[in-house]
Amino acid sequence: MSSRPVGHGHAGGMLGPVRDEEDEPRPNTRPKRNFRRLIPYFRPYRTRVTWTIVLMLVVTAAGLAGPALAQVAIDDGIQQGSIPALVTIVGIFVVIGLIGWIAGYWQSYLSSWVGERVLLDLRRQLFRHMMRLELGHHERTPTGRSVSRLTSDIEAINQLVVEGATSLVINGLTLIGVIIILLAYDWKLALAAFAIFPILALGTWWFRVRATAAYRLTRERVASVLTVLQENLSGIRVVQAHGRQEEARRRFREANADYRSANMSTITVSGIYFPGVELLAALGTALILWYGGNRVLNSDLSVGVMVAFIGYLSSFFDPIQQLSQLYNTFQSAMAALEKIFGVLETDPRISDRTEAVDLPDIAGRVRLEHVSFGYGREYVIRDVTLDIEPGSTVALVGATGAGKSTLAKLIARLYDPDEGVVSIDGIDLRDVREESLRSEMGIVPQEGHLFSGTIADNVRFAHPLATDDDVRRALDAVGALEFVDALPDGMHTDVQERGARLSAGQRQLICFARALVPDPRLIILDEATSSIDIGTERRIEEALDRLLVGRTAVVIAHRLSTIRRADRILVVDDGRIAEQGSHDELMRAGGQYAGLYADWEQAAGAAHE
Amino acid sequence: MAALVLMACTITLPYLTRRVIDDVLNGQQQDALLPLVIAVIVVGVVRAIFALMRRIMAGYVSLAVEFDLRDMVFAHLQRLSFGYFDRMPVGQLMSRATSDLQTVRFFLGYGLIFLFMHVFTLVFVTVVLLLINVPLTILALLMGPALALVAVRSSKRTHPVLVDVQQKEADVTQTAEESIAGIRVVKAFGQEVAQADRFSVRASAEFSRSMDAARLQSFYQSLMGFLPVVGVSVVIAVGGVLTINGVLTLGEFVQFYLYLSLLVFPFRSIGMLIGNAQRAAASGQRVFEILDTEPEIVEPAVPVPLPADGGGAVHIEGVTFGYDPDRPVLRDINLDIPAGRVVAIIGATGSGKSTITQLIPRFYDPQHGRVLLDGVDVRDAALDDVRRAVGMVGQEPFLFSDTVRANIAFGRPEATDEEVFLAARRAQADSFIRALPEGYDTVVGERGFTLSGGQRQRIAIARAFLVDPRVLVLDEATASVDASTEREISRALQQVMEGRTTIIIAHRLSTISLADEIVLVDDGRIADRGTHDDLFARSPLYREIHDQGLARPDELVARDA
Repeated sequence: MSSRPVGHGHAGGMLGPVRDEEDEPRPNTRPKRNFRRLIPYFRPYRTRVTWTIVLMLVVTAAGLAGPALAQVAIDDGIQQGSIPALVTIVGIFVVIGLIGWIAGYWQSYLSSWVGERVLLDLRRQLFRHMMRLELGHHERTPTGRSVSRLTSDIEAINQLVVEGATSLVINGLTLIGVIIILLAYDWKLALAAFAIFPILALGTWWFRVRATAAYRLTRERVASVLTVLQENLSGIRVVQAHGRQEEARRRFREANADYRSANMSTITVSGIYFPGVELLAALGTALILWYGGNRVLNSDLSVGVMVAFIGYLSSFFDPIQQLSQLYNTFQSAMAALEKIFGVLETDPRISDRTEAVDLPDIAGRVRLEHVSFGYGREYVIRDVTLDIEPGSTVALVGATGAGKSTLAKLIARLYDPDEGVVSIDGIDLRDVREESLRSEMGIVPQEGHLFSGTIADNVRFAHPLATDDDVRRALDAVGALEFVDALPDGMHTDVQERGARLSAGQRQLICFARALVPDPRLIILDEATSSIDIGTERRIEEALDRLLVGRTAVVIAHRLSTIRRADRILVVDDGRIAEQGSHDELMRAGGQYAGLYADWEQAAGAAHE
Repeated sequence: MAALVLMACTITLPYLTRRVIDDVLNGQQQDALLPLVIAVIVVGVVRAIFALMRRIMAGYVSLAVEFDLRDMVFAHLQRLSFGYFDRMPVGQLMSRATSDLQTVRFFLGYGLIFLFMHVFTLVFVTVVLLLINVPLTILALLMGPALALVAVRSSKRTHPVLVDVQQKEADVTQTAEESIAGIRVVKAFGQEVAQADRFSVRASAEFSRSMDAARLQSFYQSLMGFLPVVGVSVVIAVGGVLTINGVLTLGEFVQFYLYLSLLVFPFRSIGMLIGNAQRAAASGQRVFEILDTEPEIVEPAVPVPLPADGGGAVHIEGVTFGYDPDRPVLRDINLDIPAGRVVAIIGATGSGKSTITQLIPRFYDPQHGRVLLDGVDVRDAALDDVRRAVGMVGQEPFLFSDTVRANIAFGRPEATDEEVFLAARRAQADSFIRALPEGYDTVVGERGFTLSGGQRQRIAIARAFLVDPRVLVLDEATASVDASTEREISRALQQVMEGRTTIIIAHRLSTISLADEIVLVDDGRIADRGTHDDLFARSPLYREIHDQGLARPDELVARDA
């Protein structure tokens, strides 16, 4: 976020409309290119697209037939006094109307279908791509932003593709159709009517320029209202606790007023433009009445043709207004496309090599050889070499930021090392198909993230084919069955409804069960730091015993009981392994670990004074 | 007014066309052509001017209504009590303050005016048509009710499907949200493809429901395009015969035809506008629901000032309280905390520890009993005074997207830089703040620089310190940080606690050891209180908690990097 002016001497400025760091891309950066990139998505549905366009032609033609038929009815029917001719024409009129109805139905349905279907494909592709993107990308990108790529941005394109495209084509065709029909009727009168074109073109250009700026500003301001609102509602308890309601209200009012004035300018721009177009329509009518009227008097033109001319002129201005209204939709959609393609262009970085193999049955020996890794320019892990015996438990300890979790993530291949090799049973992880690696690995992240659905759904997350019995066994193994069975629907209880009632510890236990279901050889566990209620705490320890037995385990440990239980303790300091050994060995060595331990004992002892 | 003139102009134009055909082209008054053409231009100009006025005025009024309503909603939300926000999710309130308000604005700004204009057009045009020819008018207007009926029916049938589409869209959003928030889990279990399939299922469900909606909308819209064709055919056929028989003049026929086309749009729109009105009414109701909610916590008209020299003595007398009055969380609590005392409250999750502290700054009112701060019932004092007197530091402190400086000075915006720096130093936060990219001017919070849990915690402590409260509540303030950070924070706390009443809620022994006295809470009651030694000697419950959770060697205090 760039620097913002901050008043010195007092520290106000709270709650102000903070500009979203991710503004819309500048207009007209690459709209053509983005639009072209959308075209391949329509290719699988060529047949439907073709039908849609044919139907659009039919609908437009049916719509344009009205005034022409009225003209024939006046000139050939009424003025000739021929009732049979009149009836025939009316019959044709009704038939064309019917065709228009049927064609209109199918055209509208098909174009919705194609539009929505293309967006469904785009959305699925986008989501699949997001899932594949490396963890680092997600750590840098706020969740809300990724979600809005999948929701509000898709929605913006939806408006263009589903409603806009139909309107664009039909109105465009109508415009062309009207010009052709008018020229065919009487090219001299048509040219006279077209005299207003230059003014119209000029006005439309003016509208385009002004509207672009005004709509853009409105979108930014509305985002800012949302931001201030969201933040104040989330933090309302803090605001009230500090009695800052008045200030919050003032700031909100500012954002609200900014939005109003931006919106007012869009209303002014369209308020001038659209009546202007109507005025031009009236001028066109006047031109036709004057020039056409004189020619009718000279018997150079029929009354019917003149009436048809006036009728067509109004169906000429309608499409122009409609097309201008589309402009905002078009702009928003282009901005959204730009952002979506931006995500799709991001390289997933970790992907299977073409020659990658499935992992054979493994014993679970993990080896790191001269591994270095950094998220940015600086290395967080520096030249680490490490060998973990199959079936042993290794505890990683050290201060925040020492590199414990990065080390664990490298072993889990959530990142690839910049230098060196991480291998399991001698096989370089980069040569293994990711899916087969994951099936041998159980990972328990620190925060007990559960997905919506039932407890059973969550436990069988990694193994969707697991039976209810498998789930039960896993829950039982981690000692979670007791509390799960006590829930109203047992393991089929929805975690969302009861979500708030599942304590942090209970969520942890469910995460343990989830890791247990695929029966992995290797477990990577990031121990929770948050305090859990006392009963559950003991249960978690028992669960850990059962979870880790017979498997290779790497634990980022925060609890001394876990550390003591480990076969080997690795003290991580500044990206390197500073010390390693069992608890007793390290205590005897009297190094960093012994110091840490003494600190702890002192803190525990303080309570007994 | 503008709308009336506008309508009059629109209606005059076909009349002028008729005059041209009947009077001029039939050869009677050839020299009237020029004046009539000028009249068309004049009417066009007048219409344009009034259309501009109408658009700008309607826009202005509707925006003003939207602005005022949103402002009122926000101001009212600021006054509502904690209990309200416990019940109402933020997303729910957001949608009321945004999309519901917009629905109301659209109806008030455009819908109402159009409804008025359309009704006016209908009445006026009908009268004109009747003047030209009564039977033909009746025939032609038969399409009107049919159109309106179809429009009403369309909105009735389509609306529930559209609501369902919205619901399916919400499911898609939810799946997207939790998959991205839980991306570590997805990746850890190699479920990227499976998760994408789950997303696909939701997205496809939304697609197929959208298609149901599209089918309905396509049907009704094309039908509404067809019905006017029937009306116009009838007019051409019957009107044509009447003209041939000399009942109508050619000009009258053309005028009739042009007027009829003026009616198509209003008929079609009225149905839609009725649907809009219903939706706006529903939205309006949701907005007014907020405005009609009375704040549960109300300040007394004449507040009693807190004694100036009060040291923060807290008396809780016979307090019974439940967030849901039928399910009390606290039962008949009596607790006396003398000024300057440091008290730790311990007990199992859900025993009511935090709830006790929430009553002191009057975030909630108890159902029975009373809470006194320095001898004054908190219900008799000004809210601002009470809240200023109690500082709270919670487990996950909320920081605003603003500078570090502004976040620290949140409770006292008029504080000088020196005071802010001092508070930060006391909270052991000064050094890490100065190491941030822009020091105290670094923007933090949701849309700013990401701070660690321990850093956020220390900023919250500085924020509480700057207000200089009489009573400081630390509610699991160190629970979500790792052990090494905890020690930093404990040091900060010791500094800040000096000279004020402090209530600590914690699980960790190292934090509890800061207290003079321990209060043991069990199932909404105070089970016992005393020093660690007293309790250890006489309370089996305390010994159990102590043995299980507090005294065991299960924590490691790591040296700072």
